[in-house]
Amino acid sequence: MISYGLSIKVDTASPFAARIRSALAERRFRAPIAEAGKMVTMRHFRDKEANANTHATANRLGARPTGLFADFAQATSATATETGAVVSINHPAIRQRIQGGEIKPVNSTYLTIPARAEAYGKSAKEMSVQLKYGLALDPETKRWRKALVADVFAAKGKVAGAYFWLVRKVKQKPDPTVLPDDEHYFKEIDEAVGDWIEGLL
Amino acid sequence: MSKKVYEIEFRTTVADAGAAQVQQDLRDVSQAVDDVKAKAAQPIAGDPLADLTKGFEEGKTKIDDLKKSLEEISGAPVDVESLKGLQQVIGGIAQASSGGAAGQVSGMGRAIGGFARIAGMSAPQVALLTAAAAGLISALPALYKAITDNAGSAEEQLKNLSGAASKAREDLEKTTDVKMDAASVLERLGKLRDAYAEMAEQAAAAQRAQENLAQSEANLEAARLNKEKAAALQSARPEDRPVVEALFNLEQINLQNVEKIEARQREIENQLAAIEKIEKERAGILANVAAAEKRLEDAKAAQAQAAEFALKNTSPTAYGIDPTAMVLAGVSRERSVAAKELLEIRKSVDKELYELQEQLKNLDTDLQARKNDLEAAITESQAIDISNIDKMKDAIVSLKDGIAAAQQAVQEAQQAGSNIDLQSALDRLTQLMEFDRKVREGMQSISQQSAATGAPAFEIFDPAALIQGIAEGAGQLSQVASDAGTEVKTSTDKFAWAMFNGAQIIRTSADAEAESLKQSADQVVATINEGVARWSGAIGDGGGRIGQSVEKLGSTITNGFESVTNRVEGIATTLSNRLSSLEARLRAAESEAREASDRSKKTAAQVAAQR
Repeated sequence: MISYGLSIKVDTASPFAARIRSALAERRFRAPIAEAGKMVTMRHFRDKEANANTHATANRLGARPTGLFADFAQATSATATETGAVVSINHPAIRQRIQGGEIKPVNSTYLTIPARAEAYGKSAKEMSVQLKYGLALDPETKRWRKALVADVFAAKGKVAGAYFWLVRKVKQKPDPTVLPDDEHYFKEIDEAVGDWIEGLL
Repeated sequence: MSKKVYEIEFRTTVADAGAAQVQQDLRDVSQAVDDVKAKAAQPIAGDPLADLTKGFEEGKTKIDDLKKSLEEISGAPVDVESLKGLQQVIGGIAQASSGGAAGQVSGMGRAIGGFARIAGMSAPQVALLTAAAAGLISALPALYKAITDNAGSAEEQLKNLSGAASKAREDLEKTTDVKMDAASVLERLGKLRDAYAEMAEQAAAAQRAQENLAQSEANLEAARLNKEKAAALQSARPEDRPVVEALFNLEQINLQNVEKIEARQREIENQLAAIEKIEKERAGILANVAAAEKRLEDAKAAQAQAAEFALKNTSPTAYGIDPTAMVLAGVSRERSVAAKELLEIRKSVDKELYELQEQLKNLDTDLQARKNDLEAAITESQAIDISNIDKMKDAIVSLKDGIAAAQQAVQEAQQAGSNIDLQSALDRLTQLMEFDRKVREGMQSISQQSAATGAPAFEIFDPAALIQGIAEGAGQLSQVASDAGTEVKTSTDKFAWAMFNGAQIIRTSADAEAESLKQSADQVVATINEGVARWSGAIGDGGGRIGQSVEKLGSTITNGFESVTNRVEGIATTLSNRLSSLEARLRAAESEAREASDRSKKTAAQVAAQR
């Protein structure tokens, strides 16, 4: 009588099943989701930082960009939670950038809007020259505006150069491009979960 | 949460639900893997292909037997041409008899030799029997051709099957050692399942073919009996024909009863074999229990011996004073530890014994159930009253003897003619009346017995019944022969197709093994990828796709393992393993106790020498 039998030399199937079961029970896939979310966000911020269109004001003023998006990237972290994963950007400017809205001065009367390159990214107090309230001609609108200027009288016969424009409030529009779009997140998370499963093999 | 911090949250509610489902699926998969390992470790019993070949050979033999039977029925060697010729002759007889031309019937009947006796019958009888014979003969050419054609076809298919089987076997042998990783296990299990399914299918097909052949054989046997019955009816005197027919009917019923009894007998034999197997298992377990108990007693004795030695050789007052006493105290502690271990082992043994007793109880319950089944089977078989059948057989034999005696008496009376005297005539008349009475009594008895066994009732000495009986007999003969031909052709067709399909399946399976392995691997990878993609997608859109994809992934894996669902763990194996473990532990305990005892003796000797 002929008989056949299979001898099992290596069984990695059972350990694989056990590993994936344990990993699922502990919801360990949340960690790669968090990590993927963080990486997508940071990469997006760095891309934004490298993109000239991001720095329209600095370019217009001929100033050097302050590196805000690089700071956003630096401030990005992620963690797995009880309900999933959270990517956090710990930066005071991020929410306004994303959501937009009205900005009003706190503890002062005006907001300062940089009017020249050396003022970009700085506060009035940080300037090396003494600034005073005055009026200056806005070269864009050709109208006189309240401004902080270095020498009020220098304007005699000439137009005083404004360091900062003074405004009561600013209303910014929401910027949906500050964060990566959903598609980028999902693509990255998709790959991360796939890699995670393959890593269990 | 600080306003400075902006958070993007990815909720995994849907994925969590999917994960829970996958966990459950994987538990099933793990179980299935264990089952598969156990199953894969077992050799595939038997050789289904060899069985199929054997079945074919048996089928051929039966076909040959059928052919011989046909030749016996037709009274001449069977081939297509001769049967056609015979068919024409019989057709002529039928025509002539239906036209009432008795002379022509007689002449033509003699012309065909084997049917000469038919010519002596009355015209209606000739017509009936001729029609019956014509029905049988008309079926013969097609029947013979079907047998010869299908035999050749089946033989050719068998050759193909053998070639394909050899290749499949080689391929299977090549793949004996496998690497069982996550992907290949699915492939292998799928192939294993297919192989089992194919083998089961072929075995079932062969079994069906065998059953069809057996049925055909039975039909042919019935046809032969009907032919004999018709011949006996034809040769019997008109007034004896109901008796003859009743005798044949009873014989048929008896045969059926015997078949029932034989079938029941086989069931009983199977039950007895199962009971015997259980008894053996039970005896083995009892022997193991006895051995375990003996080992336990031995261990107890060793412990007692060690304790006794310790009692004699240690002095509580010597603790901490005498170095020798310290040594002795150490030995005593060792013994104490050994004794403690022994105690634990004893508890374990008690537990094992309890479990063994439970197993025995279960076996007893099973045994009792089987005994009950057996008793029920015996009771049922007794319902078919064998002694009653034997009585009927005796009655039939005596009745046949009585008929023969009466026929002889009548013949003698006829030969005596006018030479008999009155007294002699009266005596003979009395004898005939007595015979007539006996026949009526016998027939009444037979009628009662027949009714008890389900045979149809009939009128005694009824000419209408005689004609009807002959017509039915002839009709049955024709029909049964025709059915037999159809059955044989159908069964041989089925058999040949089963062979052909089996060969195709095996050949396809063997040739496409590599391709199928690759496809299976690709499919598994694709399925996993798809599951992952869907899963991740579901995380994003919060839809129900994760559930579906996970379900699909789980069901795919589960289906891959579905072929093996029944894991059989032999009670004997389990018990044997337990007892082996028990034995090892007892042996270790004994060894410990013995060592402790030896050390005590040695130390005592050293102490004695120092003193």
